[in-house]
Amino acid sequence: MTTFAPDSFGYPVAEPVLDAFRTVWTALAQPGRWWTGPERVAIADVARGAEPRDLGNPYPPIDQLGAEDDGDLSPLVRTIVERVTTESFRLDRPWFDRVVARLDDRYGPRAEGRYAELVAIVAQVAPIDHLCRVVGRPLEPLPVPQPGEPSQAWPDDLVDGGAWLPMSGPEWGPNVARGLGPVPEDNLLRLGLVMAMYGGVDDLARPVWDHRALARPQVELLAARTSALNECFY
Amino acid sequence: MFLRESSNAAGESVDLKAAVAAGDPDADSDIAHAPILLVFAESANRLADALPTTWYRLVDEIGADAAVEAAQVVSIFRALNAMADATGIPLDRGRPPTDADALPDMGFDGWVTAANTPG
Repeated sequence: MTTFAPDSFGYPVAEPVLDAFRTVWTALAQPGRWWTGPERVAIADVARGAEPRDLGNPYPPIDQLGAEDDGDLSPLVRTIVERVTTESFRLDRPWFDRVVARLDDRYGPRAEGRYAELVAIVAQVAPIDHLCRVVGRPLEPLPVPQPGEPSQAWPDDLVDGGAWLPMSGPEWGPNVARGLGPVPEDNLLRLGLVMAMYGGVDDLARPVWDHRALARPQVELLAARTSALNECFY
Repeated sequence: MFLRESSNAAGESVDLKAAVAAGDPDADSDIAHAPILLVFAESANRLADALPTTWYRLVDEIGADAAVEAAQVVSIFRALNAMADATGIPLDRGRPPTDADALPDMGFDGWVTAANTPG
């Protein structure tokens, strides 16, 4: 069966968008820089099932979560994934610092890389799943994990750009394109989704669009209102 | 932000505070189909119970191709928001898409994320 088959949507999703989805799905199953294929798919599965918590049932403090795996992931990693997915607007620098310290204790140095890859996976799977939910399509089955070990390679061209994580260089564009510096391959996949679902570099350079179903101001109105709803400055 | 640039280029005006910050479908705007786009953005972002009804209204008003594009934009911006929040990236001053210098005019200083966003 074709992954993300065009006729599975019931509405006309453009082929470049479906191609970007398929590229993400193929890479999701492969080992990344810091997580194995089974771990990456497990992270995607947790993100897919994450639901916002009721006010009376908050997430436990990060220091109370077990760091040993009970399955493909630990309670610590599962909770990090859930919080990034469901309440990113509540995350702050002290929380991030504790997360990195806990991951560092469990896995060794360069834990920022593990956190960056986790966020990148959420940022790739969540928009695909969300689009499916909005148009009433069943979620695509997650890919079968592939064997192999993470490279644990740390990029040598990262800079301190004032974010929590080291950033890619300014040549990558605005900060929202640079913020996942430790995992450039996953960041490129994420940006591929952005270009397919929102607009590519050439599109963004043109204030007037006459080649798409929506005009540029309509797209930007949707984007700005979505960010406002999520209390995000981007 | 790109909304201001693109609406200016198209010769269209929009009340940013009413439309973007408050999501008021009756906000002053020359953008085509702005009221249903604002209602859809909220409904789709939250996967509200009213989403199916809103979706069919959207398809009827702007067509299926445009409705799918609208769904894509909401979906990818939710993920961009999560990534930005989870990495603490600073604002890009004087440069879209954030254009941080314009934000105080829109009343966003009271957001929870204002304390967590460097810049």
